[in-house]
Amino acid sequence: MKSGGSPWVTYLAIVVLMAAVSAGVYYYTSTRPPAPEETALPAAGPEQQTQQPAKKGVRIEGGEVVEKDAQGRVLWRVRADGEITYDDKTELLRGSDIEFEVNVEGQPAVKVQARQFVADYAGRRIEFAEGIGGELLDGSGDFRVGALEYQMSTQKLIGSGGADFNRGHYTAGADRIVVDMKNRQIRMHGNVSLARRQAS
Amino acid sequence: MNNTKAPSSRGAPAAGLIVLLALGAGVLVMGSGPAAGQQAKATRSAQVTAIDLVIDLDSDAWEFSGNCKLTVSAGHKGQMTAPRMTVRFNEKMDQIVQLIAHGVVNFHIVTKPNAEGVRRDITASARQQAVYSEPTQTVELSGGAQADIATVGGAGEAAHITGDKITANLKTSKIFVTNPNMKIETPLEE
Repeated sequence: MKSGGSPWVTYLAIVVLMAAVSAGVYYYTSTRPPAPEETALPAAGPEQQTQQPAKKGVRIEGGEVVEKDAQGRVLWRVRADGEITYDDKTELLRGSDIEFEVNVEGQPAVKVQARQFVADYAGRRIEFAEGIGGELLDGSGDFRVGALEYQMSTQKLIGSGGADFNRGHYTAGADRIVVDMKNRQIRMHGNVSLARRQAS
Repeated sequence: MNNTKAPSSRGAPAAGLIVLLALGAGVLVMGSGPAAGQQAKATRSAQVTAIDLVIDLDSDAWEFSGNCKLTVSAGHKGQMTAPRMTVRFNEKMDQIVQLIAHGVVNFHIVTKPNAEGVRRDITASARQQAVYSEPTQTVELSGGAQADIATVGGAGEAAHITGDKITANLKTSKIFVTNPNMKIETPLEE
């Protein structure tokens, strides 16, 4: 018996069909808009992330939250390598493995790193925990503390649970520290001790 | 016994000669001699403790307050206490250039041993202020300054000095007194 046609025709039809499918997929993926970065934030939907903080002047883009004053100057900024979530019921913003920046007159003044971060919008304060270290961005020193709080109203960082402030070859230790970059002052309280660091 | 004391005002037997010679010039020099400055180089350290500290980042003044205590050691061991102290560093922030103690200041030091192995115990105070300079290793007390100097171990002369200003050089273990008024007690030869 004679077959219905050449197998080459069948092969050719298959190749043409595959080329058409590939072209279609390529066209679809190249013209589709990219997914918004907010989806990288796992615990809150995009609506929660943009709406509630926006009422407080906070903008979220990916792993970054920025708060500005009425003049549009940045007051503080937090970037999270880990997850960052916002709960609109409690008004708490939480982040992990963060880098926090305090701005004075719109300019970055202090950078803080910590493993845990909780911003309490109702209480106008931010708490940091675990592995806390800070650096004055004008190069005038750095500090380590057991626990740290940022007061949004005064723009002060208040450290407790033991604090060390390093400047040059000297270290000042105390129970507590206040980093007040608005007044360009560091204040340390309780069991203050100043000593020259031993050369390593 | 060799411990008979002969108090004298503006005068002393041979043991206090070095004091008398300098007294005529209006400046008192009392110490353990140049050999004291030739001791083996010791590790020098200075530590300040207090209740509170305020650092002004613009003027770079570090102001300590509340039970302030400066402890210095470099062969000698000294302590200074005051209600308030201001510390200034050099530009590299690797040395305390100056420490000013404000208010009633008390200072105590046991000097390095001199060539004869004698150490002096100096207790000084001032009502106004004291200035400690780390580069020169001096403490300058002013405003009703007074000092009691004794030989560690009890033997040898002892002196009580008052003056407008008393400067203790910790490196050379010498004391300079401006406009001095002094009293020396020294053991007499039997």
